[in-house]
Amino acid sequence: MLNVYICLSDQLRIEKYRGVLKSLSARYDIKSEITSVLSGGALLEQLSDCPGKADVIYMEPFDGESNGIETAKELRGLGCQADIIFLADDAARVYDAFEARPTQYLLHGKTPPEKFAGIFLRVALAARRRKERNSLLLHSSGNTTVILPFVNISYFAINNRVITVHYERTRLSFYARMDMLEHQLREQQFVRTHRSYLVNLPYIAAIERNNLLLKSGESLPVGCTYQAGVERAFSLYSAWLRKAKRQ
Amino acid sequence: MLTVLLCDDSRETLEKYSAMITKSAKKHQLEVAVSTFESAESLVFYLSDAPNEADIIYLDILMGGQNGMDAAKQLRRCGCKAEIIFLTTSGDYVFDAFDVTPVQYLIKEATTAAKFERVFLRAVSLVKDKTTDMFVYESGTVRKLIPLKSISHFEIWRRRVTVYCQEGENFQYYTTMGQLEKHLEGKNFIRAHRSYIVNLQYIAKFHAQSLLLKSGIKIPVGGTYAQQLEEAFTAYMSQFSVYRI
Repeated sequence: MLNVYICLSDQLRIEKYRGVLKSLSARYDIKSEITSVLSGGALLEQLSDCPGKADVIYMEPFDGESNGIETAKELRGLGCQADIIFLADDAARVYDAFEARPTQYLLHGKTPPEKFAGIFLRVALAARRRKERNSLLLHSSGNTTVILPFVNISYFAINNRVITVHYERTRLSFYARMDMLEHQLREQQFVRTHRSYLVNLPYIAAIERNNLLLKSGESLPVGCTYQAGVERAFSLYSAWLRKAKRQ
Repeated sequence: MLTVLLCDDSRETLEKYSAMITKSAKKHQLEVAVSTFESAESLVFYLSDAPNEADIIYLDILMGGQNGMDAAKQLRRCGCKAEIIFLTTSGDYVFDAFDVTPVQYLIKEATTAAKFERVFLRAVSLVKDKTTDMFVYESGTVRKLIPLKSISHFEIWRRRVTVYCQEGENFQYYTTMGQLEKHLEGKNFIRAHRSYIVNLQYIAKFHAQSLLLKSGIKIPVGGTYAQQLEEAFTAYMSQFSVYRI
């Protein structure tokens, strides 16, 4: 879930940006939750308890009353590492903005939709990667506990009730149910490709008819019922990566 | 020692700002090594083999050949994480600057000596924040640095410490266990055994009396250390989203 905050003093503008972000999220299959506030004070209130909650913040550097750049600096001071994108009427505050370490400084009405989209996709990707790095699989049996970061897992294979995790050049097997696993992995980028396989999307190199090729060279079968879903997920993900690439 | 690089096609500018930096450094008791470059090409060439040679880079933008903004982008692509400060006459590139996360974009004529110093000090403090993630040790008369995150574990025998690194290269130096532990306080490292200190980020498996690291190396767990190891590991895990299977 991508947590997006919009902090603008003009409700109409908020709705405009909310609309654009919702449509981009739908187009690229990105699950976003958009929260809007009308002032820097309200933003701080929302985030002061849990500054890590926000992934992306769209805010004004100055709204005629309060100083958004100072608010942003305060957020940084609280440990907020979200991507901050300033949306301004003019370039008046651009030189002061650097101190808040924003990702971008954009002008209302002067930013081409393509550029806005590219920036959103880039920050969404960065947030996704951060979450992946922070997510681990833990399995204990007897005195042994295994720790596996999701980012290192290429796929899960199931045979009867034995699940085998494939990661780096090794694998690990344990007893668990595939449907329970799939449920827990919905937040991650794993896609069900076959009755017996759950594959980590970034590890896929190409999808063919009835099978897919991993970047490692390994080939896995794709079940008929899953073919369309896999193709869609993979093409959206590829489009996302392409658009997010720096120009 | 802070490495500061200045890049500008005007020798006068280079001299002026070099002097200002040296003066500020002296005033704040900072050790700096300042180097100057008269073109973006020469700067990029110098850093391309060792992108992390520089701590702070002052960049002009409009220079005879390659422009400073392109050079900055190229450096970032090479993995250069130096603090960049644009020092230029033109405001034309300010919007492009955000892509390279600079400390500041300074317009020469609009920058007073006081402001220049403030920005310099801010860059210095950002560099200092980054270097707390480095492990420093003495090998002979040389001070060496390795990023903490690339160290999987330390093995100590008598006073000889072997530092095991992710890339496979291992280093040795001499110190006491007490000093080593002190050095690593608060940094995600825990003592697992009389002779081993392990990086929590590298643990792949826990057994009753041993640990398996991501590198495949097995580390014994000493009885007296088992509990604190477990506690440290639990505390470490609290920052992650954990899925139990």
